[in-house]
Amino acid sequence: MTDDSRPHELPSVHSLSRSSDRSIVSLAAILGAILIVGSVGIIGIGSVIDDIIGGSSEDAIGGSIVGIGIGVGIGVGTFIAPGVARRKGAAVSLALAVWIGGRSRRWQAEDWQAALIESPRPIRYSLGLVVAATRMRLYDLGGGLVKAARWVLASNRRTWWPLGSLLVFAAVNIHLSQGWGSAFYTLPTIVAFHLGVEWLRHRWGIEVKPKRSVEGPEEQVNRT
Amino acid sequence: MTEPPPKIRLTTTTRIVLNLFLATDPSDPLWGYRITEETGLGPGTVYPLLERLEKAGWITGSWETGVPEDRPRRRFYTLSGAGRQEYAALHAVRGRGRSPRWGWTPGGAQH
Repeated sequence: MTDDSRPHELPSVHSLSRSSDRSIVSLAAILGAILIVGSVGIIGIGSVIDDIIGGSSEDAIGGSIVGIGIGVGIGVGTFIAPGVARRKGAAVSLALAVWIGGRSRRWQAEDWQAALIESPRPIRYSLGLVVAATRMRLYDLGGGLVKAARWVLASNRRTWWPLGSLLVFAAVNIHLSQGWGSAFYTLPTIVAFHLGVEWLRHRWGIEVKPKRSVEGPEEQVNRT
Repeated sequence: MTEPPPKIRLTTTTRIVLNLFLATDPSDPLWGYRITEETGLGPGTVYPLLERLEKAGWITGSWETGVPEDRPRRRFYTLSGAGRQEYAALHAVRGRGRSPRWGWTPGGAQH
């Protein structure tokens, strides 16, 4: 199923970030221009306020520097930090999804990575991938349990020894604690178990192994 | 021991995805992200389903040829001939199952 024409690499934070580096650079340039214009504006506003309240020019410069600092902080917090956090968060979720998916699904990481780059909401998509990987693993687990259940149901001995022991234990336990009257009511449970086992065998198409013959092979040959 | 192919149940999501495959031209392949966009289903639903369908042989997956510069390769999926037949058969059975077994029919008894 896997195509090994190219080695499959695990996604890294760096590799996911690389593709959108150009857009980040252009975004930073636009942001820088906005900040410069904003700073000039803040300095102007500072000097106007200074004129109104009658403070010194040092106070105006100090206030303007604080204003620029606040502007830079708001700019970084509004534009750059969420973008970086979004990409890093998506990459971390992707790595988690690949880890949950297991070694047998590591080859799918490339497709998932491509989807994350395409998606306008990469964090949301990467969380969906984590859900997908978890569901795939649960499906694997369910498949293993079904396989084990099929193996048990394929033989009467494997089915009824454990189930019978459990039912007898339950009946004795109820008898000891509540008396025969209550223990009598475990009988429908035995019937229900029997019907359930037969229904599952029918539904899954399981043929029960025939009983081994008591006679040896030589005796069988002699008889024929 | 080879693992038996998973049994495909025709759930609503399975039908939505398979109908998309049927409606799409084979020369215009589908990939995971496109399926999530066109069906409105989340990746948590689509990718496990694609894996099961591929294991069952209903769809075939292949990597995008060539190496795109700006992103990793996509995995393309197309509906296989067996998948098309199996889906049609299951769809027919499902349609028959919906007709009432003991209902009144205007033409009278047909047996």
